[in-house]
Amino acid sequence: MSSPLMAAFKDVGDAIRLAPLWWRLGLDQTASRFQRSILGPFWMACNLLVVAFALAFIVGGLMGVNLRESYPQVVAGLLAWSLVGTTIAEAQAIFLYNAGLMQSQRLPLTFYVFLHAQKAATNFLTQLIAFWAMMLVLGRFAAPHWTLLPAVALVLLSVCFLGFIIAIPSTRFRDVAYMMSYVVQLLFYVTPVFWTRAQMSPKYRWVVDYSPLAHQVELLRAPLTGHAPAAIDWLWSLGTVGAFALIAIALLALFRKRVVFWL
Amino acid sequence: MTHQIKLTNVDLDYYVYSLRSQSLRSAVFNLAVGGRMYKAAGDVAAVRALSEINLEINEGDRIALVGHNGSGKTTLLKVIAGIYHPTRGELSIDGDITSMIAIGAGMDPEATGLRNIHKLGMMRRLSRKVIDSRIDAIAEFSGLGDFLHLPVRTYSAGMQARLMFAVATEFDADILVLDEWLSAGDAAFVQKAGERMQRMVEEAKIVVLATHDEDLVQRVCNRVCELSGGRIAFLGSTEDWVAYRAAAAA
Repeated sequence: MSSPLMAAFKDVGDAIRLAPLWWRLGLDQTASRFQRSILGPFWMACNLLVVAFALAFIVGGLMGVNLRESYPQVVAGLLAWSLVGTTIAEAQAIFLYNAGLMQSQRLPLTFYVFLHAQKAATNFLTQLIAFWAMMLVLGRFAAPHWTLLPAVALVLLSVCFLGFIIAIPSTRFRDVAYMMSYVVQLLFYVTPVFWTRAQMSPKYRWVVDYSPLAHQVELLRAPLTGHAPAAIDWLWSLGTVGAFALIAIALLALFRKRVVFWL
Repeated sequence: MTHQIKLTNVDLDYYVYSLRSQSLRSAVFNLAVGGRMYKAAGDVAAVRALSEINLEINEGDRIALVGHNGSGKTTLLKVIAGIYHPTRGELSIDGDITSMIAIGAGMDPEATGLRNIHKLGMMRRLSRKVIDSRIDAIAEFSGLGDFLHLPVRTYSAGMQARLMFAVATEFDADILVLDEWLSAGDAAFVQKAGERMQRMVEEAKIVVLATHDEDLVQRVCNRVCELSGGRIAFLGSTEDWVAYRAAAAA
């Protein structure tokens, strides 16, 4: 295993074999985030509830949109964004958050990326339950389309690869780490989460058409609101995940041994 | 399977980022401690923390790493534990390593002692059942009693050392790598810890221990590796090391 590329694949393989460990550790880290609180991890669900509630007033009141029609769309979009977008902001801390562990125990670098994805998945699941509960209460519940499962799987893969792409430079150059939260904010506004592609003037529709994140959001939102995603969303998502995978493996091969010195 | 650690011509460079290499370099002249620093490109300083380390540690060895602050003890421990990859040279390890490098590492200060025992056990990939079956033994050996029900943030360094050492040694490990935090424990505990390490070695295990405590070295270790400026200054049995120290002092 002398070549860096083989070592990178071995790193990923070792991390896959450690699945029981990052699974338990991820749940443990999620639980300890909410230690001494009564609601515990359900605070994560509150995030979606509060934003959805506020939007009901603002979008409905200010813009006069017929909210009854678009509300489930908007909330499903927010839910999708929590997996597609928010994880980008969190990815900068993948190695920094686990610095203590990285400096005291030998674990593959990929282990921490999987740990990040596990926490993202747990968070998404909690919010998904809140979403369905909310839709049931409002009488707008739509049975999810079966494509939700492969869509979540594909987006989680993207979360892993993007994890490398963001965490490695963020650990080396701390400015990148600070920058990420602003980048994500910007990306949120250019992604059709609480507006739709149709509302955008045709001159600027390319912002949506060529945005990998917009396609990923749509990939999750469609099955959440009960129908299959468009083929173009699948194509875009598969293509970008492939591209992310190549970049991620290249970064891992180049900097695997260095990251621990950057902490 | 026999357990062995072998380092051949190992060098380790630290890259220190986003510091003024310039000012660091001038500071080094005033430094009584530390490795050798040299200039790397741009805003990056490279510190040669270890150079030309040749070391073979065999089954049954309890080896002490000694040397003054900044001589490379902890760095060498981290290389042996697989945390740092050597810049040059070869490292081969046969056996399952348990490393306890920093005090409090892997512990959650908000959680109770008992929960942290589970957490540390979890990081060693042990099932809940195995941890539960040993928890009484750990509690007894640590001597912490009812304190185990308190959050670890209320513990003193010595108490944390007791808890970590108890967990580190209760579960089977082929190779145990310990940094100098052990001496945070009081004399009675260090005595107990020494006996336990002795027992581990009787089971043909390897212990690598970094320390400043000469008493501890003489009590616990059979070999000594003294580092100075990132190089091995002395390598031999504990008796020879005591003689070497006496000669150096004279």
